[in-house]
Amino acid sequence: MSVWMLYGAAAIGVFSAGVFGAFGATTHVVRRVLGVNIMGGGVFLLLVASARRAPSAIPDPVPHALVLTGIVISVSATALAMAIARALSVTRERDSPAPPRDEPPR
Amino acid sequence: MSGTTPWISWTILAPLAGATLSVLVARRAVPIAVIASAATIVSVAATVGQVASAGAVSSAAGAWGAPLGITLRADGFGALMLATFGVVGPLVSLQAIGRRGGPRARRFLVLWLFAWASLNALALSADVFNLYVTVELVTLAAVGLIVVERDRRALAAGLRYLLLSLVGSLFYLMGVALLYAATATLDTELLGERVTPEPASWTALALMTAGLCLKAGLCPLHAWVPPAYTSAPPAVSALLSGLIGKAPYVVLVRLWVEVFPGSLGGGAARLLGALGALGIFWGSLLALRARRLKRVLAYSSVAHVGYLFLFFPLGTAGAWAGAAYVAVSHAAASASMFMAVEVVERSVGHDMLDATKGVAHRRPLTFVALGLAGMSLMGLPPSGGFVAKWLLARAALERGEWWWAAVVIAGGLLSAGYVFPILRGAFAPQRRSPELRRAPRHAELVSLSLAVVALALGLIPLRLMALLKLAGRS
Amino acid sequence: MSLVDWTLDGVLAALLPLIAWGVVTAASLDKAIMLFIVLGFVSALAWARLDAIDVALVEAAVGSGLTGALLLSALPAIQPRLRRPSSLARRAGVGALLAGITIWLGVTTLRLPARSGGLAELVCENIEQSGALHPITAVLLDFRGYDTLIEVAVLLVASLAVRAVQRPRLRPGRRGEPTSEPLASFLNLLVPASIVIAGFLVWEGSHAPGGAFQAGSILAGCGVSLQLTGERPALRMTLRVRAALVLGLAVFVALAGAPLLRGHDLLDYPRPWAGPLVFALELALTVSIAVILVTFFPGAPDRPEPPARAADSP
Repeated sequence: MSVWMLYGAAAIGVFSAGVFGAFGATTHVVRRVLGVNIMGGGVFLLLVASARRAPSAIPDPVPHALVLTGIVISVSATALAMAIARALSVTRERDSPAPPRDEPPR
Repeated sequence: MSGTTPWISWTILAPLAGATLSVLVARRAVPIAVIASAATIVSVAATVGQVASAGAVSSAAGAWGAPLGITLRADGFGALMLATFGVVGPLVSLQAIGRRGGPRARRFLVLWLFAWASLNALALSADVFNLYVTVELVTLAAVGLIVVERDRRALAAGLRYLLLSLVGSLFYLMGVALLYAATATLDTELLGERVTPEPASWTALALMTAGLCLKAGLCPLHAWVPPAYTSAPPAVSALLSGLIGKAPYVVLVRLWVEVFPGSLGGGAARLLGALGALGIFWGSLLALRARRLKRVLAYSSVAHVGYLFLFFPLGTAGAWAGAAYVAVSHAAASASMFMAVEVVERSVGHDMLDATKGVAHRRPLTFVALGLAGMSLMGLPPSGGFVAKWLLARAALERGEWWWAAVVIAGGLLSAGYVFPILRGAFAPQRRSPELRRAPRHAELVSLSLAVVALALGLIPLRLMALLKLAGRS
Repeated sequence: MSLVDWTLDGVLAALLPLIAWGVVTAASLDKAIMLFIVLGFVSALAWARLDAIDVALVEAAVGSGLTGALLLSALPAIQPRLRRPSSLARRAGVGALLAGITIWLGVTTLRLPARSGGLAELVCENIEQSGALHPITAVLLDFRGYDTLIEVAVLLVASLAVRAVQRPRLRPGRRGEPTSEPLASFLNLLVPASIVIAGFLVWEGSHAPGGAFQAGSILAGCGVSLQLTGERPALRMTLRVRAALVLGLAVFVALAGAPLLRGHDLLDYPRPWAGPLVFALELALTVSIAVILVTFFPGAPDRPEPPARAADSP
């Protein structure tokens, strides 16, 4: 057992919690976005933990760089999701009535 | 790279530069987009030419090369996808250019240029993490395109697509993390050499495949497809169903063929094939029951994703050619159908199945487009769809697995069941003939050209097959 | 390793999944978001323990700070329809799937090769030729610079798409309520301080932890505070703002394309110039990242949102 394994196992736990949030917890959009972000957190933690397996002085910088890229992508996607959710909540039904399935719109 | 002109890199940089400039100089967005598209088309054509004459071409970003750097590589499959994106995409985007400016057209063009750059990057990338980044760019650009008109249903569909897509991406990324931890490389070629049958690599394959299947809309993970394809603006639906929907599949093929070739034809591959078959039947049945044209096309897309997955259980070169041909011919045919439906909807005011009544006489160009593209979707000779299904069925029979061939043939019959009513309706005489509204002429022409492409694919298959065979990466 | 180290790591590693679980099962959304921000800070601690200072910095600023602020700023607009759990069958299905995934992935992770330097050695061997002395900056902007090029495009596309879905009525561009005296003086201090810190981080990035992403997110944090407190109106899409948005990607594309004209590979910086070029790229990226992150936020609302229907994703 070494330190990276401790964090590696924690990463899997975080990832699973995120999957639950994204799929299972509730259908609220903020919860799903939180779930997706937590899934990402789990993956990032695994990458950083696995970078610390080296016996040498410095950890592997490549996973660190991948995580930085991943965090920026996550925040971009989160911003877009929240912007769409905001737009949805101010778009009243009468703005653009959703035609019933398989019925011609007016 | 040594000596050859670096066209491969320009296929990504030209649309990116165009997109950047047209954000900055918003007033001139349309001419900039036209110039950037022309430059991209030239680069794509030149890259395909290089691949056809000299085999796979590659370029190491920053000259570092794997495993430290990222390599771009165009093989036959990559060149074929580049060509598909480069023919279908610009034709569809003409529709926006035809609308002459306007903020909507500008937003569409900028997002399309980003999507195009990312699709090309995806077809060329030989690095599993870089594929993740490009897939995310494809997704965000696609969501932007779906929601750009702020229609309520489109917003809801776009949000759903975004969230599911992100979940899929993170499953994929978890797989990347495991692969890197096990092999210390991200390059697909090196991974192919270093991956050994051990828990980490099987787990990675399973996670990445699951994530990509969700993103590709493989049945039963297709629930996000119909709302997205039916609520987006028609040109966007054409791009989504024709091109963007193929992106996760391209990554999946890379993964299975280059990193895990040993798994092709195995148990997991049979499961993918079975889900593909399920998708063919389920998608076709829903298309048969649908009463709106766009829904028919959306479910037809679900069915066609199914054909793509028949490659995995067969795993032969013939099956690969068949699946690649399905991807290419469906891209052209489906985009053409969506554009034709746009014309019909604008003319009649709705897209119920009977909207096509009288189209044969009143909108002959659109009718021809519907007919040709419909032939390809049904798989009638001499269309591209016919060649694709014939190749798949033959590959199945060659391996003695006749049941996959039966699925292909049954799927073809079912698709006749949902395409034919559209065409028959077009001939129906109109008792009362209400005045048709003005429909965009350029949309008609775009639809017709795409249909001609779908037909032409049936006439020149050998040349394209040669490209696919000539330049395998390994 | 001492007992203290082990205890610290053990507590952190146990806390992380617990807090994550708390986020997804929290009774209210506010609580969930608060816990999420806490999770971000605990992760940052864990990453500092794993010698990932750069990641810890970005996580604290972007991963939990800005993401948390994004979620919180959207909450008032999105009616919090609480406690609408999914059906029992769905939860049971997801629960079973989850248990399977956790055990399977856990076992797989623990069976990874126990010692592996990854690419660390190769990075160290080549760092002299690269445009930066700090390994992570070298990976981000040189060895795997192409990833970062696409990533900057992702940021820009997200910013454009966010703009596109904002209703004109809700578009930022107006000032909110005037700020209170103490807040104003705090903000007056905040602006020059964050500019100095950001400049320092970019400079440091070439040889120590820091760099464009860290600096950009600090500047963005400052911009977002000004905007959310209503001290400054949110950005309008003037030519100057658009130029700032695209500057990073434009410089990056130019640096990628220029070597092609000389017959080299893309992003193959002329080696003696690699250092200055990477530094210029970092400056451009800092500006663009800061502005893009600010555009992710809506302006300060000057009146309560109309009672909206729930925005549950379907």
